[in-house]
This record gives sequence, structure tokens and C-alpha cells, in this order.
Amino acid sequence: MKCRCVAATVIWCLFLDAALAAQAPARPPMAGFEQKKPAVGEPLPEVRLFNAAGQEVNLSSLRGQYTVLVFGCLT
Amino acid sequence: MYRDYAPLGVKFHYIYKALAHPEINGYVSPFTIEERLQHVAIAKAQLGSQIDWLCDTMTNDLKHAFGDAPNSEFVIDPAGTVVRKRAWSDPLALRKDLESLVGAVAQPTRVEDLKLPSISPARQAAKEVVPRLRLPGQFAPVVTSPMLTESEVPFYVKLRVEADSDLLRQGKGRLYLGFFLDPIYQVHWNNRAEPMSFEIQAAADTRISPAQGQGPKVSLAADSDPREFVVDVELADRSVPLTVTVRYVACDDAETFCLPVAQSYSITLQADRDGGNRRSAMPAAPPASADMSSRMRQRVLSFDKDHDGIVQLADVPDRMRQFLQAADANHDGAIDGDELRTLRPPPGGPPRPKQKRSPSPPP
Repeated sequence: MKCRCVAATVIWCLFLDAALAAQAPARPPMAGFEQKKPAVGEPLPEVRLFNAAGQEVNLSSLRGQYTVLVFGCLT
Repeated sequence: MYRDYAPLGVKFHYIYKALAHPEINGYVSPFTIEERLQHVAIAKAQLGSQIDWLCDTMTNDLKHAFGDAPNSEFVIDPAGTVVRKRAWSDPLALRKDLESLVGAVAQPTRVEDLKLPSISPARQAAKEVVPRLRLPGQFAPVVTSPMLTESEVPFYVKLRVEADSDLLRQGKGRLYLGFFLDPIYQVHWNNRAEPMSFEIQAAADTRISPAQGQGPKVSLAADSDPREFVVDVELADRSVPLTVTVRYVACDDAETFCLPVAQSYSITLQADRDGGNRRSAMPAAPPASADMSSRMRQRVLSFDKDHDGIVQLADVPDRMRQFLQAADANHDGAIDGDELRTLRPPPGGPPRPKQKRSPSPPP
């Protein structure tokens, strides 16, 4: 659980198959996360952010195909 | 997952956000978007990532808009509607999501099919030279604003400020000041120069002791350990921020520069919900009794009404609530995750339920 937010873990979350997932430690649920926005069925919020080159983009630009968003950080 | 579903038109974005656990691998919270983008570049390079990376703003707009979880996961449909969400990224569940939404792939990628690089933490000068400070009790990060425009050079050293619950609630308590070298600048403490020093300025009637300090004199020529201090504070006016000024000599590891730096911060005694939790990176406090801690956690968890691992303070008895309020580091009115894991019995043992008196036998 200590390394739940290490980038490697996050990338693994995107890449690995069931075998590794089964070895992952159980993660604690977040208080009230399901009740927080955006709920399932709601549109993406209009939020600005940056691409890796530092250019500003808007979340709405991600429409047009199925998209997976995963949050994480170096620690 | 990317390898299997990108060819089917699914886009994957990794969203880089505020550090959840500053100090792990030496990384400290960035002060500017340029520094956060540098974190992204480091992570991309170290991991050999193929997916697109996006970076949250320094005001953490995206993190707030998506529920503030450290490693959450969302699936968006082509119309831009959220069709799946979970608090913690789960590759098994995500694969099932994509199978139901897009279709199964004939040969799902296996772990051994990937050549994942291993992460090498940033290299720094000698560590474990200066003993770490063990904080007395629970501390939470407070809003710390570097005065960026007043400095002509980067903040090679970054200040992290935490307050204990007494200071946050009553305006009188303890304040932690941790000065950390930022590994992205590859600098070290120059121990041949005068040690770093700090001073705190505050409103006239605010008491701070000590209001200034100096790092230790270290015999080793260079090291990268944080310089840590705890000061007593009694605020006269909460609305007036404290100003902390730090002076140090910054030297890069390649020995191309060494320059004196003075930088300031404005400190507001208000919990910073984006400040992360560095307890996971700290050496564990010695448990007085592992068994006692375990029993106490079980006792606290017995009030977890919906069995989600989170105990609402409103659900526990008064006596236990008084004890748990001090452990509620992020002041969200609940004890969860790290707060529960680091729970320690108070002096005198864990809180006990009130014993119901047996009715007196009839005379």
C-alpha cells in the first residue's frame, strides 16, 4: 500500500494483466468517492490542464472515442 | 491494456497530479507548473511510457473536479460521458469494462510480454547524515505559498510546513518546518559553507519560539538530508499569514555553480488538502505494542457501519471521538487509510467502551 501512488504502479495499472493485479495488495476505499462528481452518466467537467509539452488543453477535447483516464503521481 | 485496446481506438491518458506522498524516492511537491511538467518528463523517461500524459494545473483543478482520489480511474464514452469510475485503478476491472464496452481481444497482453523498465530514484548526495525529526503527534500540511516572483533562481530548497491539531484548531500549538532539497535540480547542501538558516516573521502579538534557527553543522562536505525544525506558535490573528525566510547556499552536484540564496514563503494556518501525506515516507514510529495497536484499530473499526474501512467520527462514542480527532490528520471527519494504519494508543492504553453497569440484584 505504501507504493500505491508510485508511478510504476500506476503504469502497471494501465498495462498489466490479471496475474499481477491478483498480487496487488487490497486498497482502501476512498470516503464518499462514489458520491463525488462526476458521477457515472454525467459529462466530463470543463477543466483545463496541460499536455506533456506544457500546452494548455481542455478535457472536452478528449471526446470522440472511448477514453481511459488514470490519476497518479511520482509518489 | 494500452497495447490491447489502443489499436481498437481507445485512448489512454495518464493524469499527473499533486504528490500523494511527498518524500518517497526523494521527490518533493513542485512549486511551479514547469517543475510539475519536469516530474512528468522524469516519469515518462524512467518508465518508457507509451501513453499520453496530461498534467493537472498547480491549483489542482482536475484533481478537485474528479473527486480528489490519488489513483482513481475513469472511462469516458465517445460522447464525453463518464461510463465507469473507481477510486483506485484496477486493471482487472478496467479490462472487464473495456471488454463490455469495446469487445474482448483475442490474446490479452500478459506481464511477461512487456519489457517494463525499473525506476531508479533520483541520485542525490549522501543521505542519513542528519538525523530525521520524529514529530510529536499528528501533523497536517498547511497552505504554504512560495514568493516565486521575488526570487531570481528556482527554489532549489522547498519548504514543507505542517501544523499539529492544537495549532489548527485553537491557534496555539506546534509548527513543523521541513526544508527539502528538490531532486529535479540535482543540488546538495554545501556543508563547508554556513549552515542554512530561517527566520519567521508574524503579526506583532504572535508568539513564536524559536522564531529563527539554523541547520546543524555537518562534517561531511555535502549531503541531501532535509533540515527540520519544530517551533511553538501562539497566533494573535489567524488572518495574518506568517512569513518564513530561508537562507542557504545552493550547489549543484555537477559543481558548476554554488550561490547564496534567500527565499520567502507566506504561511496560512489552514489545512492544505492537496499537501499529501508524507507519513508513508517517514520511518515508522516505534509501536509501544503492536498487539495493542492492532486491538485498538479493531476496536475503532467496529464502528465502521458500512464496512468500507472508513470510520466516521460522528459514529463513535464521545470519548473515542476526542481521541480520534487528533488522529484525523486531514480533518475530514473520518479516520481512514494511513490515519488508521498509523493509529497509536494514547498514554494509558486504547479508548475503552463504557462498561454498562449490571443492574443491581434485587435486594
